[in-house]
Amino acid sequence: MRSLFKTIGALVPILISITTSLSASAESSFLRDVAPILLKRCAGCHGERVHLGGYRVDTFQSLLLKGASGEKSIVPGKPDDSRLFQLITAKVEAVRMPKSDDQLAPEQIAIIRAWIAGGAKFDGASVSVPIKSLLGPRRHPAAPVVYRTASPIMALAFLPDGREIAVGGYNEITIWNAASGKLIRRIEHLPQRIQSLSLSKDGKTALIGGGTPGEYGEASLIDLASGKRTKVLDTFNDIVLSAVFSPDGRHIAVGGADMSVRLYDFESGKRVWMSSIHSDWVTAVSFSPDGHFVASASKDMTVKVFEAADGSLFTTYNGHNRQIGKYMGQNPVYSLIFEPGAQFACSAGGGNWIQLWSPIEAKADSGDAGDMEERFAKQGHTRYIEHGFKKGVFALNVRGNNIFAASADGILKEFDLSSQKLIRTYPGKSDWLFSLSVDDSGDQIAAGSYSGEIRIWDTKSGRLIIMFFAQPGRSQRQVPGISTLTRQN
Amino acid sequence: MRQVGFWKSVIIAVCVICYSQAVSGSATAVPERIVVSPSEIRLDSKRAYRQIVVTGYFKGSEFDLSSSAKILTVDSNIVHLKGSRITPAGNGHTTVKVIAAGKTVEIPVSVSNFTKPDPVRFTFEALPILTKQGCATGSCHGSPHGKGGFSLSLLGYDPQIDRISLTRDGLSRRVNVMEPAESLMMKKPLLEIPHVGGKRLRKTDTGYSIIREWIDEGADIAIPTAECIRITITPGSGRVLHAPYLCQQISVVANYSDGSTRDVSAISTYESSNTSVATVDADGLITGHGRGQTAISVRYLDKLQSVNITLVEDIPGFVWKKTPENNFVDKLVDDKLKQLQYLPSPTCSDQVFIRRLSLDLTGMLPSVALTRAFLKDSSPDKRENLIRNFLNTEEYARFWALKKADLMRVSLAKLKQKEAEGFSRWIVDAVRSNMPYDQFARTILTSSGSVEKSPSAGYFLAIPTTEERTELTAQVFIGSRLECAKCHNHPFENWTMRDYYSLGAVFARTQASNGTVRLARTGESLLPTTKEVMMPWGLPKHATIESSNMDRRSLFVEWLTKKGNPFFAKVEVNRIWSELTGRGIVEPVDDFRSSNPPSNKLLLDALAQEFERSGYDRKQIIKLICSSQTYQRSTQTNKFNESDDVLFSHARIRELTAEQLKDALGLTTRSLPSTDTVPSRRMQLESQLQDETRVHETTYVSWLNEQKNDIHSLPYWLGSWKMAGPYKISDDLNPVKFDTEWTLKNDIKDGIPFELRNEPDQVYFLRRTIHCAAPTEVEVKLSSNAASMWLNGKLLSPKLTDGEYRIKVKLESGDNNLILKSAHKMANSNIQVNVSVAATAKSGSSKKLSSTLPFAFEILANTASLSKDENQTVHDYFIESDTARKALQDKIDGLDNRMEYATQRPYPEASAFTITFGQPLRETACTCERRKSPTLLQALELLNGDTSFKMAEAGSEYYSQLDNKSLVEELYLSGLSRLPSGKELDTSLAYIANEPIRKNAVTDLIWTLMNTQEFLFQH
Repeated sequence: MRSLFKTIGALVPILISITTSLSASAESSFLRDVAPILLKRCAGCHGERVHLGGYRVDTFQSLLLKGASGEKSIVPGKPDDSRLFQLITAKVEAVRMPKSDDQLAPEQIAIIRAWIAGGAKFDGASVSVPIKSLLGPRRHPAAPVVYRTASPIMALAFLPDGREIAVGGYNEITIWNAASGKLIRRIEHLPQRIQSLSLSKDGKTALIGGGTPGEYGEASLIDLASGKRTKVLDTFNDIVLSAVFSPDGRHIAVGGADMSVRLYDFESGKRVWMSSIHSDWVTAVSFSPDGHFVASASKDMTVKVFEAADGSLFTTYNGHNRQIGKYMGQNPVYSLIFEPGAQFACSAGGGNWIQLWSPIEAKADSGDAGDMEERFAKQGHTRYIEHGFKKGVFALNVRGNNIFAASADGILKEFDLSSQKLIRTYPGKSDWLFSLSVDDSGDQIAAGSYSGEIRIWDTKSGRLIIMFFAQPGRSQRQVPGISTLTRQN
Repeated sequence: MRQVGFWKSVIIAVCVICYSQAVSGSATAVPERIVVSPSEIRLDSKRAYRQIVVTGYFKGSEFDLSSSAKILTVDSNIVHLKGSRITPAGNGHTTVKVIAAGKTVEIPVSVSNFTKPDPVRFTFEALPILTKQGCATGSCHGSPHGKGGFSLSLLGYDPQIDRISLTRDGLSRRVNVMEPAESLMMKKPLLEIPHVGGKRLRKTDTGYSIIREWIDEGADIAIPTAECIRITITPGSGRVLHAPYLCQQISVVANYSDGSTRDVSAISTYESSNTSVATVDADGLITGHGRGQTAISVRYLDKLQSVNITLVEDIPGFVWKKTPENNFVDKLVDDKLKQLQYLPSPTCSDQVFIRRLSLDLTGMLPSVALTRAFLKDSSPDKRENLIRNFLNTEEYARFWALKKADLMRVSLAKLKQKEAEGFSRWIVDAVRSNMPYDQFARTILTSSGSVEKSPSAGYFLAIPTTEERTELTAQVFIGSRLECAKCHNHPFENWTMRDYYSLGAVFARTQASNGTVRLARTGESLLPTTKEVMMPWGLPKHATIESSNMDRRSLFVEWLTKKGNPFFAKVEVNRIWSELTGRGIVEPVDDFRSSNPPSNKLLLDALAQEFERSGYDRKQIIKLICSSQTYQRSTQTNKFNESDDVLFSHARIRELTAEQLKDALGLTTRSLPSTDTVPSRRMQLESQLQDETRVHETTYVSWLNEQKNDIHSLPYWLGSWKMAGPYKISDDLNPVKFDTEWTLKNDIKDGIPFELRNEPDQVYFLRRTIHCAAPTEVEVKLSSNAASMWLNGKLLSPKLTDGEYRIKVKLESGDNNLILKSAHKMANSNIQVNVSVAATAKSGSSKKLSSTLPFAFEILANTASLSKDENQTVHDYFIESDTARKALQDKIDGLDNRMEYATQRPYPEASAFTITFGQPLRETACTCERRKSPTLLQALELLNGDTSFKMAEAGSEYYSQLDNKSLVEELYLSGLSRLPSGKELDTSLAYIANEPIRKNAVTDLIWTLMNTQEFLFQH
């Protein structure tokens, strides 16, 4: 009898592990099965920044260390002797982890139990780097068949012939007929949010940046013909906000909410350099037309200019953070683009102006510590376009001598770069505008808004061509205020 | 907040225990009846719910049975239960049965609109959650710059900020309408991803489902047409918790301007002001922990209300002993003590009483003679008489005026000496004549005109900005600290920004400058968020802004001083109470708010009523309090009241204030003569002054002749400045042709910049005569921020802008006329003119007369024979230039202002000694500016300080004249208002006898007494 109980006792953990999702694999994987639970349920209090009880789970090494209690957190092979397991299964709520929170789900407890019982093995590359960085690119779910509501349009891009427009959706890119507003195609299994979308020179590859706010970012390449994610350039700790090709198409610059700016080689997909000198989100990146510089705009109120070759800092443009003078203001920068001909940068965000400046002269303006007073007193070389919006500018686009600015006012305006005068205010007012695209011919401009609405205008006449909601499953008949959806010219 | 879950479980455990005790307890556990609130429930939405409160009525008391009551639903297709909350399950009518303590009550419930959509309203439901979960607090995202790049308005005062912040700001990353549970604003507080603010939300919280639903429905931020106008809390204030009934459920219902109501118990924020008495959980369930009183504040949006809870415990061995009750004060204090089971201390001795009362009413120690007489007096009403006598002294008037002057910032930093003295004197007069307090407030708050004519205008002169006036007036007369509401709604009180700026509107047209208060015709107060013009506070309902063209201040004062005003009488009686007992019934005295309840509400109400009834008679209230047994209690505590600090079961030991201490030291050591000597000293000085004047007068004629000679022998002289204006800058004024009244300006001194307090676009003219014996070249140095200059009708310089100029001019022999025109776009011009003889001029005159002549000498220079008026002017000058006379006059003025007495002066002495002992510099309206906690510096000052050392030495001069026994007795009576005990006397006598130098021994004795706690404290 006794041996029978023993057998049953020994079987119990096995039985449990069989009943879980792990049953298919012979052994549990730390990275695949355990790490996501630790990151979601434990790392909030036992992470890199906050580590209550002297215990942290952000690296595999630290996971095994003792906390302030002095007891071994994990005893390989012995879940019941492991402090971690004791605490997540404690009967008394005041003692149990996660503290003051719902208990882990039974299947999660089973996963952890099985992993410890199996020897607490590690299947990652390094025990000392953040576990988060070892997880690799996420596998993304399919997009919702029908959108229950519109998703904010943070990115859009005309396809080369200007007849179709690609739009950042939810876990997907949607492609729409620019004339009819009909959904043509969906490219799914992409990051939750697409914040940036641009096309390679040949128009065959889409570069996307996006992720899940606060936890995951990704920059990857999509083969438009097959709809496959062909390469994940990198993953990030927070969402990617901007990813662009260099003018010659050979490099890619990426920036995002993890505050880093990174440069990749398009062919190999290898990272060339990375810089973390911004102190807030990098909201936009742009190459100078000669490919010499990469500039990055940030919520930290600066635009940094890097040498594209090696990522060394060339200069910092502080024109959005002026404490004195006529163009005073402390403003985050949300949009940035280089003027293709004359090599000057156009940047905007909060504040009343689109600012036109050149990296070389910005460096001269910066001067050295010795001439500080003089520098404060002078206005610098920047030219200012007073845009007249009440709220921030989130997207800029340049075509020839003209610059387009889309703002949170829900309005698109066009200015003359040489005179800095307003050329046109495009008709219609949307929710906050976040994205802009001009087609290759320069004849059409599209803007995407918070409410999922896309407006396409004729840049010559300024007339609205079409307005539709990029919301798969939504009947466009519901769109108010538009009598016809056909091209008007 | 992180501990919410833990507390919840403890509280549930406690309440289960209280119930089981109740059940197993004595017969008192059976109530006469139970009442369920509400008596009928109507739920008009699938998301409506109703918190019920079950009250059991026991003999004479009522207790909450909500948490122990059993609630049964009759039809679970219509209603469900969530604890003691009734929630809908489907349309229809049914009842719920509430069974508590063996009694059953049925309440009808009707549910309608269950299948109709009812989206979460952002402003009314989601916004309160951000406050409840702690997101929008001042230390987190509600701080001015937010946290982690995410910012919310403080406690949701500006929904517009929050709407945008949650949905669109941050590149729209915070809500995820496609998958609500994926929203950053849910994952962060749930701690599913790291959050510096920690765990703020659990999936079981009501807030979780509301926020989730709001996002699920599209994160709609539509602005509602209605607004919340009121919240109603059940039960109201005054519930008493007594074991075993230590829990109290409250329910909160919001009333909206569209007539709708909704239960908001689950989304309101609760906080206890005293968590050692009771705590409150997220569902509004209060749990008592220990004896005492607390206020549970309930916040829903910008509405904040408090529920006062008293927890009573049976103290083992406590038996109430009847103590004398002299008036209603004692009855109300004793009622509270009886309820909370504290035993009051007995009556204090006569010697303690006279010292305590004298310090409280006059600020000074009682004289030895008065003390002896009082101690000897055997009449039963001797304490009453003493109170009455003290209230009629000049010392009382001055000492109590000082308390008011402290608040109203009467100091030389804010006012000119004349203004400060005038305003201070006015306050003293008001206290002396016992001016009714409403009249006092009215006179001050509506004062206009020059400070000479209406000295109370000093109030506005000391606080030139509208903000200061708003805040000071609120603090002094409304007892509230309104500063917070300048930038956002007050976090702990109902004060809103609207209140702040509508009080600002009251003073927006009051201008104070140049010693004069004027009313402007225009001037508005704008709400910063909307730029809306605020109606002045006190304007009757439905009045238009035009009807506020009268003096807005009188409308406000009318509101303020109307009987039944919720603040005016209470704030003042509470201040008086605090002055006399050392602690306000509401403490701090200028922090009246519902979340800071009075320690004895009935007492405060009764005193305020008496104050109103008496016609705001402050002396009457002081008399009432001083006559009470409560005031006259000993500071000695007993076993049953030693832990009481707020209910006045014993008197408080108080450190003497800086002024009291300074005077007490002076009087005890005789280095300061008694105030009784003021009249005789004044008479003496008066007669000296008369003597001096008489002697001086005899030299007048010879002086006059001498001066005339002197003047005429001067090579040149400058007359005094005269001024004309102000005129409008637009007027075309030619100062040369211009004939006007010139007024003498004696306050313009050569070489000292003179500030013209002009309004913008005003012009002043300044003129002076320069007399030369022969043509002379002089140099005129002028510095100004805008002026033009003429000499003998010729424009010397066009308009001079900011800067310094040196101009050489040739003067003719005889009188030369120099005129300056000052004009500046900005207010307040600066002008400084210096005329000096250039190097070419004759020098060598060794006359003692200055070349700058006083006006009287100008007359002498210009006039051979003096007219009567001229003679008077010259004569006045002659008399006033007598320095000996001036010194005497200053002494008399000093006596009149009682400058030597720290407790009696019109403005603070601000000496190192008084500042060390906490004298306020009158920079704020807060009584807290007077520091009350002892410091090391104070100990050092008393032990080794120069002041105390000199005083002890001075004291020995006086005391050494007495024989040993008398001197010890006199010293004890002076400093401690009592005779020494036998042992004290023996020790002192032995010390004097053993010390070789008697005077040193006396100094030592005085020094020792000065450093005893008995001397330094009022007890």
